[in-house]
Amino acid sequence: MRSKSERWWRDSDFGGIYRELFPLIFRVAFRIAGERGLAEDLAHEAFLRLLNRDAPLPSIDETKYWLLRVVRNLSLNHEKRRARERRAVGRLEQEGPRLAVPADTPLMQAAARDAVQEALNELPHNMRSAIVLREYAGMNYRDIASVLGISEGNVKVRLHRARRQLARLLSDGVPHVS
Amino acid sequence: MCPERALLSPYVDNEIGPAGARRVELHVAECRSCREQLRAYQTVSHALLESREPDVSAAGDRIWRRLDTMRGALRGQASFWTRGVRVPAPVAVALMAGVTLFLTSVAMWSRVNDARLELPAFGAAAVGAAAVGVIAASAQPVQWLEQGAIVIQLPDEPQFIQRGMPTILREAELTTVSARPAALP
Repeated sequence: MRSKSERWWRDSDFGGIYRELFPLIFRVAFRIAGERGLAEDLAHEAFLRLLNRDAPLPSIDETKYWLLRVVRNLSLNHEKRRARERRAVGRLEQEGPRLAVPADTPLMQAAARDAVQEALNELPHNMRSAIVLREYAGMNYRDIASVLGISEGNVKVRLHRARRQLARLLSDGVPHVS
Repeated sequence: MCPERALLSPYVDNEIGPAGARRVELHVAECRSCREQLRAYQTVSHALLESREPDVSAAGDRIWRRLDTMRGALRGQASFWTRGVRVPAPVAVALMAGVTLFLTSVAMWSRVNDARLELPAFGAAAVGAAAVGVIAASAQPVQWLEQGAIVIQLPDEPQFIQRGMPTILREAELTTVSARPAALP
């Protein structure tokens, strides 16, 4: 068993791995999470977990898929937690105006919203993960299936539904979409 | 709905073979609804790729600084076998003195034990020589014994009796033989 001091990155080029994979991981994290700050947290956590691994991953591709899987799982957990919080806030609002929590902070109101990102945020998490991995990570169906732990047929269905829903959501904001 | 509509998304992703692609192209050339759907999918893909995103390099620098701090902390962790231990100098000197004293005691005890066993070993060598008939080698110690030049002293320790009794008895036999040298072969 390897001790902590024998961490694999001591002998490997962790900086090189970071430089090569960070843009992709961050882009995917941002598109799945929908917020820059949250995307940074997700990417940071993913690379930190990579740093804390006791054993190296066999290749850069395996490392990439591993990081994408971590980002996807972290974002899913975050989304579930946020949904629970929203439900709790909704219950509080129903109890009376004194306990009501403002829905948006001034900072959030001031933040410029991208129509495409907002449309992506509207998608269910499973569809969003699939379309983001396809469009922003440039992965084929087999690799997407591997990262998401589903079949290729399921990937095809999710992408089809995601595109159909995005086309509908963007039909007002994107002039070329009929 | 046209059956080819399910192929539109894989067609955009280039995930169908040449035959499937040809089938889609022939179909959308005739089907207005599917043609518009395909165009919508292509536009969605284009919009996704063109949409703005945060500065990746700035985020990369920020996260790298955080990670580098963590790496520094991890680098400070040594394994059990390479970890340094801080010991006050007086304690270290006392430990070294104790270890030295212990090793010296062990060495001296071992030497005393070896000295106790010398006598039986000598006797065994003499008896062994006599047994193979080398008279010159065995007669000399016997003469020394007769002249009183050397004395075989039986130790009092019980361990000696257990280990050395047969040898001492043979020494006695050797002494008897030396009194009658003519009887030796």
